[in-house]
Amino acid sequence: MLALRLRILRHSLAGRPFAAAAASALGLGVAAVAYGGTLAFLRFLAGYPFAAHVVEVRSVEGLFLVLSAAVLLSALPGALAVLYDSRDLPLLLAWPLAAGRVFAFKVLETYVVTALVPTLLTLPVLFALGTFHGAAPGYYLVATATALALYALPVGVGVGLALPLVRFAPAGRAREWAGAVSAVLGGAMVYGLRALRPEALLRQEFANEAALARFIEQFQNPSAPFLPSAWAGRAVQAALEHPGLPPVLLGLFALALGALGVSAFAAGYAYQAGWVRSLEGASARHGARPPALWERALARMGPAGALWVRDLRLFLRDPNQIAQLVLVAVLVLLYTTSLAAMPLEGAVFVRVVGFLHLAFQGLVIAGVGVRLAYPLYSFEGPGYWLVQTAPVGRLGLLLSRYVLALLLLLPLGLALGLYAPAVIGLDPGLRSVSLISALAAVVGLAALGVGLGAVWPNREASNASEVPMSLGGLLYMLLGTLFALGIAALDARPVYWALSGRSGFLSSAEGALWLALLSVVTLTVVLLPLAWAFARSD
Amino acid sequence: MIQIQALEKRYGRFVALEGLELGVHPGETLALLGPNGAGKTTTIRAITGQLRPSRGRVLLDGLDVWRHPVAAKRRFGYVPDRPYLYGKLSAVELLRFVGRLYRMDPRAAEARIEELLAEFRLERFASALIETYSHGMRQKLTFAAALLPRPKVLIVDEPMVGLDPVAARTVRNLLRTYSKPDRAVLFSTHQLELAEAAADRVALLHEGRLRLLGTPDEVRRQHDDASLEEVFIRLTEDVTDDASAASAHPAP
Repeated sequence: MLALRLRILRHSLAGRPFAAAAASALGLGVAAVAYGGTLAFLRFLAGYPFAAHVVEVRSVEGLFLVLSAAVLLSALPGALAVLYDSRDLPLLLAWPLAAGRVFAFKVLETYVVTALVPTLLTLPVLFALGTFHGAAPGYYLVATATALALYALPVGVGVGLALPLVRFAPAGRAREWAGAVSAVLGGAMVYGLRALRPEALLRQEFANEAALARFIEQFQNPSAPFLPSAWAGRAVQAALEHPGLPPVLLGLFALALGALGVSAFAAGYAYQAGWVRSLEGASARHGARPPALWERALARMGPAGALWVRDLRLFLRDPNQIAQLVLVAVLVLLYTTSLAAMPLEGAVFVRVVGFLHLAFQGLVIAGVGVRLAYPLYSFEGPGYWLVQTAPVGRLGLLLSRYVLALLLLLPLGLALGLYAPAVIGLDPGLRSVSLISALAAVVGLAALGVGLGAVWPNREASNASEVPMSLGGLLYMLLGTLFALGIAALDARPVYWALSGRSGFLSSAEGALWLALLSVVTLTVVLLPLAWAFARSD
Repeated sequence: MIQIQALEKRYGRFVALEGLELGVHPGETLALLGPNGAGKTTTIRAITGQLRPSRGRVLLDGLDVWRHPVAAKRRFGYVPDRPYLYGKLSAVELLRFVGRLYRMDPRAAEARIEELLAEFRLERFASALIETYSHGMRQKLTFAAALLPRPKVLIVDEPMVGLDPVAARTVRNLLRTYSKPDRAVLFSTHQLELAEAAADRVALLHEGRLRLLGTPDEVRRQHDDASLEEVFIRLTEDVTDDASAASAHPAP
């Protein structure tokens, strides 16, 4: 089974050599940045010998905890997709192979799908630690084994969470429930991180030696010593300090193997007992229901309205999309509440933070746009033939996608452009600048996403997160970031104006020129990708 | 109704279709035959505006599919070989969506939807999500979607895949009668008995070229009263054998 999968992988890489090379270069680049960044951080910490060790240990544990949570978050839908919903599973089970082996292989596949990227992010950090401390060669093996064992645990838990879903979720609804559980887990995780109140660090009086000693004393005591992330941290530290196999790693490995083994065994049971029921037990509903009022209203707008009705129904019934919306809402909430909790004393500091916000909001919208605007053409999926062969013009289809992207990104733009500056306490002039900049970012990034998404559609993707994994997705992120930074560069002028104590920027001649420049940049970002998409679409 | 003129489709050096000339007249049902990879689906995709031809053109009711796509597409209904539909919509939602794309009057659309759901025995499942449907139910729904706007031309790629016997009979009757008196049907199939039973004329494609065109009776007469199956095998094997012989013994 493994040989077959590797052969399929080799063929797909050979079929798209450019994309494979670009992805490899990107992966190596990220690894190099993680390695170099960790080394720089450790060198910086070395300047503070009284706190360096504590901060280093807790940072590694923190990284393990955050990435374990990320693996847990993706393991649930991953387990459903790989273990129960994969197209090759019925074929594998029909072959003369032991069912236990098939499900063990599938659990391994879930592990690779969900834990590969976190593992590849962790290893450069651990290797940088080894380089910095001049660790023995054995350390690198222990570090690799620690990362592999650590992320196996959340995969086991994710598979375990999937079991009751396929067994007890209403017929045909296991996937929806998994999406809802993931969204709730994700929201809880983000709020959990928020509950740590990182802004409390800003309030520490580090100039006071007694307070600093008290803080370090508190900080070095792990708050949850029984968490696997703490075990992994201890294993890494032990390997750095003493050559040989740390006993805690053996415990971690035993736990990981146990979790994967039990989950593989239980998955096999649940497949037959639960999944078949959740697919076959679909109940028939009688008769056709009349169209809803909103549906009738939108339908009056012709084919574009019909497309929006379809999009809204598909969007609201797709648990992956709902999960994304929940996470975006939580992140915006987190961002604004964090701004509200920051100790912003003095008008100058408020304006500096305000400028950072102006620079950041475009990047946030670009980040959300890659999930909401870029995949809109790809969301047509294999059912695209229905629209392609229907009497719908290319321009009408393109514009309907663009308007939908605008509607999806606009609430985020308003929250960032209108609400966040109010939370910071910016003066009315900069609030207007913030709102205009956010709207420009929404208008431009929606077009960039839809345009590039139409040029590089991926209608075979099984979920929204797969769609941007392409040259078009990378190009969108690159150009979207450049556009957001361009807006931030333009915003520097009104912020400088405010910092120098002047008001009424927007009503000045310079303000008019600023608006004209912003409009030209935004229109360029709107028209070029849409024109490209129109020319390329059939 | 359908005029295919010098149609050609190339993928690099590979020629999927070469100089295809074919017409389907009003009141006629034409079956497109051919072995796997003969170019049937490519032809249908070019007619339905999914695949841009390398050369040549397709006219639907006098309209060039690539020059006047919206007007041309209003004239045909299409059933693909694989019925990919939106799993998160119900049957009635999908049909309403199609009706709106074709700008049908909402009341007329509702009445027609009801009629088609009953005809294909889907009314009990009208509000269930399509993702819960079997392959055959999806195929029936695809037929209902294609027939909803009462198109002048019905284009069907492999119509019988996954259909239960009742639905298969409905579809066979549909293929036979839909073209009368002033509409047209084009369908591709591997089932020669279906072609014989439902089509006025048959066209055999092989390796991207038209090898045979005529009524089933004409075809049989031209080939010593052999059955359609024998003609099919003879023509497709002859060509393959000729090609193999040519490649085994290249000309000096």
